[in-house]
Amino acid sequence: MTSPTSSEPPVGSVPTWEQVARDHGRFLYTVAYRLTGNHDDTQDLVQEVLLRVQRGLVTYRPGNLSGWLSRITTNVFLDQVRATKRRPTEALPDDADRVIEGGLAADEALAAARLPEHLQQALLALPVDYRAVVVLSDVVGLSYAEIGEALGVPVGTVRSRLHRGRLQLRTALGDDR
Amino acid sequence: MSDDRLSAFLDGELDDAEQRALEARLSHDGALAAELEAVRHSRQLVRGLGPVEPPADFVFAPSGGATDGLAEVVPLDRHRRRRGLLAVAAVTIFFLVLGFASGTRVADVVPPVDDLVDQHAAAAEAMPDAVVDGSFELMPEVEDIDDMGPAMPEMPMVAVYQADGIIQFLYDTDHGPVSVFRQEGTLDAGSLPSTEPMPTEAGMARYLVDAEREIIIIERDGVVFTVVGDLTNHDMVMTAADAVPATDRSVIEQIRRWFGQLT
Repeated sequence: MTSPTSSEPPVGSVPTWEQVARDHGRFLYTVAYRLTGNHDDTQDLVQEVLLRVQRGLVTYRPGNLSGWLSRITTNVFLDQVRATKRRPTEALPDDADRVIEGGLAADEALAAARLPEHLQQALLALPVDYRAVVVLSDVVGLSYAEIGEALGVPVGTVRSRLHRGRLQLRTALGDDR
Repeated sequence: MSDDRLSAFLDGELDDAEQRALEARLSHDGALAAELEAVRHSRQLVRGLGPVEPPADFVFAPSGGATDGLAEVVPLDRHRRRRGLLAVAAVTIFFLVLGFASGTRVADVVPPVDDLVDQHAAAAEAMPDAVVDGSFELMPEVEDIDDMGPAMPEMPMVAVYQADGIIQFLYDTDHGPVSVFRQEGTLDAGSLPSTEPMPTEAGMARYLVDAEREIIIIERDGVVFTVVGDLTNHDMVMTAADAVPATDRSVIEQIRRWFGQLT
């Protein structure tokens, strides 16, 4: 699972958004990428999350910062999906027009080499509600109770969505194991 | 019919009563055990996904926000090597040697997982007949090598190695090699790194995975087996895990005599 390498802020302290960006930026990026499946949408999502973090820090109560960030990320993602009435899996493929900076293509290739692309595609093929639960559980590492709180659903719903999501992943992966 | 208790079981989200009930059912319900296996595999694959690197020119800043004062983002640690196991390995081998030397059964065994994974990789690279490093030695070639370890018709055994009380059976498959390590003793599961329960034909096993390989640890009748294989060769790893208790003690004694160390 993915987690920030930097330690959580000391108990009782509230980080600045710059600290969040510096210490948790890559964690946010990974969670966002697992949800969206492409760098363009990931970058938009991360920037939107940081904006909400900037605004929300005044009400943040020190605790599980990673859980708080992943909850914001997932909910922003779900809001965007529902608002646009489209599935992120249908996002445009990475092509030459989208690779506007010299380093991006190399980064794309690097990312693809690091993780099995078919697995990321299988994740993207999941219904967004299932995908959100799978990412929060198996990428972020939240408990069922934490996921339920983050998404506003009962623990039993978390359990069933997670199980169905995993089974669908297995089906999507087929013989490729 | 799908049972979402299986995911909760893997995630440690069942209460004691639910867990006992599920384990009892798993022991005689092959379809359910297969579903558990499928879910466990998916879960491990997702958990094994690494961090995603942003493009080099991406700036972590709020939408439309200022970027002044941003520090360099600290890279994520991608290496979660369990270095503590090296010490466990050394202690385990020491006590194994001590146990064999004194003719007594070693009480508790913690497979030196990292060392075994490294040995598996080295043996696989050198397959079929090279001595791979200074700790494990290759058994002299004999004609009936296939009779020595767990019998798996679809997986020919290609070599047997030994190091201080641990015997390694190396198999070849179409999708890569699989190793079965065998050591005597009872499994000290509490000293293992984080593992998950997994049903096999031999009973409940412990499962863990690193970036590339699956490791399945089973104790059966005072013998601990550690099966190591590539993540992409899951079916053969499971086949080996199901078959390991078939190893006959007399065969092991024969192997020891061949090695000329323990008689």
